[in-house]
Amino acid sequence: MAEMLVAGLAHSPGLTGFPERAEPSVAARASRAVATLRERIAALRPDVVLGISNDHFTSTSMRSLAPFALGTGASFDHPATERLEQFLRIQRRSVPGHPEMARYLVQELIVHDVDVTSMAGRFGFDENFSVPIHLLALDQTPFVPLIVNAVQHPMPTPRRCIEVGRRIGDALRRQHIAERVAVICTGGLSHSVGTPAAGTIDVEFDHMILSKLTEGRLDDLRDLPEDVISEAGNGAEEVRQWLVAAAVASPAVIELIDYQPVPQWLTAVAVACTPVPLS
Amino acid sequence: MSAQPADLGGIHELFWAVRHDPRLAEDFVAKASELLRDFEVDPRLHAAVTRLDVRTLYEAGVNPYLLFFAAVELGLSRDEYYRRISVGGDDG
Repeated sequence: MAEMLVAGLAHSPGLTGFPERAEPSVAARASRAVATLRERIAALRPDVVLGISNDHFTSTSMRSLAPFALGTGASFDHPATERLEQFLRIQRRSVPGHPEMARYLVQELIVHDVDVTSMAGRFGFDENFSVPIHLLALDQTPFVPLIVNAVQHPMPTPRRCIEVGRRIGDALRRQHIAERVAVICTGGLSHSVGTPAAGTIDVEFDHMILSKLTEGRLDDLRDLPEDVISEAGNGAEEVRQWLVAAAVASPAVIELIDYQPVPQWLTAVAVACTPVPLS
Repeated sequence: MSAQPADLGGIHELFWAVRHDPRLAEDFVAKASELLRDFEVDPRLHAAVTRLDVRTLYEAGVNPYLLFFAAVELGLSRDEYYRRISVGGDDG
């Protein structure tokens, strides 16, 4: 039977680049949660991974910021540059793409009224995908990146993210390209990067989001006000990735493996997943 | 009548370029005025850019991701960046 696993994982650079800033017990707990997810993905043996995250101006710029963009390249740089390699402490290498699946998704989304942008050719990842690929041992698995604009307003609304996620879920359930698909959203919930609020984590916001996602109340977040998101920090805009992924899984509901605020890594470490039958 | 907000297009272009071209960052100290002009950075922000007054730039609306990455490329440590953006100030 075709299978899919939908997962979520923080992509804080602290997870790989400066884990020692957190208390050893905190880092160990995060490692255990990540290991649980890694084992579940390994058990699936995915033919392809659809990664859902934002780009931090590594491979996109304000000259053209698409709300949603799919990478259709045959390979990607993981991470993008030597500087990122040093910062993230992840040895730089090439990760295979999956052009057939990527082009299929672009086509299916456009036919179903989602005007997704196609990003052709080779480009590079920052912590968005490189931290999860490294932690989850996915550097040999064909990867399709979906980049959601969560770094500069105007950004896609929560309502639109949920709609797009549902269209992706529909497309994945219709396809015959891959038997086993892992869908992994990456990003923080509340956090701030490059602002005076860096290191602040809004646990109440995080719990509100995670409770909706894990209790099957995704549609309660359709009208999540922008000011509620932005008050939880500029990094909280990455909640969009979680909404897309939860909608891909819907009506299946994401199970939370762990949630732990780690101010030293600028964000909480949320780890979640759920199996979803594809047929 | 309130003043028009600064035009941020040029500074965002400059900071993106600095992040992606280390040589540009190296040249910045020697060619700051030239680069600010070439990238059409709003003149009201020139002094803040050359002093790496990140608090002023943040309050002017510069994207904090681009601001942080560019400041690091231009020689500011992570800790010093967060000190400056929290309390204000510059290298002068």
